[in-house]
Amino acid sequence: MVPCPVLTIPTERHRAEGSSSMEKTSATLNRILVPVDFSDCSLDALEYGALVAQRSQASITLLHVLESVSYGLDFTLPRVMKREQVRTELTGRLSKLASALASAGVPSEFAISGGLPADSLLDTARSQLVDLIIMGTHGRRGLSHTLFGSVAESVLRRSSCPVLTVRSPKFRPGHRRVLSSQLIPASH
Amino acid sequence: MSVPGEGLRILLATDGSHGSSTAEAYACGLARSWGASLTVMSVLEFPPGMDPDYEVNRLYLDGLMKDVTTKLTDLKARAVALGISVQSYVATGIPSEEVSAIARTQEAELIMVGTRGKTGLDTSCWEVRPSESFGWCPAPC
Repeated sequence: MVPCPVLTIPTERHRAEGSSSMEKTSATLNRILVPVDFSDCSLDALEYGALVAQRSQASITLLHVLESVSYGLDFTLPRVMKREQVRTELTGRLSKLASALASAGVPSEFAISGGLPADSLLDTARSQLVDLIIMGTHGRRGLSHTLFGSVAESVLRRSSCPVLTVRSPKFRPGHRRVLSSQLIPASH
Repeated sequence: MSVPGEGLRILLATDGSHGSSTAEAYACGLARSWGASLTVMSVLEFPPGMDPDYEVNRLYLDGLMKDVTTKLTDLKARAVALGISVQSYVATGIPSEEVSAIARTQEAELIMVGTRGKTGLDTSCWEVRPSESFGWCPAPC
């Protein structure tokens, strides 16, 4: 297993095919995109993101993608209310993460989008001109990978900006977490 | 990556190709701005089970070694000129495993690789190495 996070840099040709904003090769970081699905690995990635942002004086955009499970035609009031309730709940959780980042001196904003996770993520990266995507990965292999796929892999293959994948967080001794344990659910 | 702080060590895995120059520039930029040291490495890809001492294989490996050594020496010189502390390594074997092994022995806190971002049919025809990062460790492709 990979012993530390991996930063993947797209080649010039690949960059040229993507957003024009990504044609620079400098390592200047102004805006970092961190997708969050509230899993342990995404929150670990956010923890890394906070440290990178602190060091680089960058801002963080948190993104949660609401993936459509089915395309039902149920537009009745209870269904609409349920959807609104989910959205309100997510907004609350993202606000708490943004507040924790603010207390660590990291400016942040958050967004909720719908659609396929990889597509939404890449669209946001392009529209917000992000310099780096930091995301967690479950590290699925074999059958599990075939069945469930990997959002991180899809993003990594198609992104025109550098992507830092975090699977094995390795914090230094004495590291004080930016995200308190109250923000991290015991199970997901 | 006990990111990012003093004494941070970045491992750049490169095949010395034209495409990897972007990753090199980025790694040097990051190492400078974070005050990190850089370990650069290349892997002479050689499948397990083949005899490295067999004459034809030896010729192949010697040729690769010569090429890679020149490229790493040049890269090292460029990084040193930027004021970055650099070490270099050449390994032989399966890239993903060798990069992972060097990352462990060097206690690297961040691995950097370049990618050509192959998708679709490209992926089926030509393996995309960074995807190995999720299971093991990536190598440049």
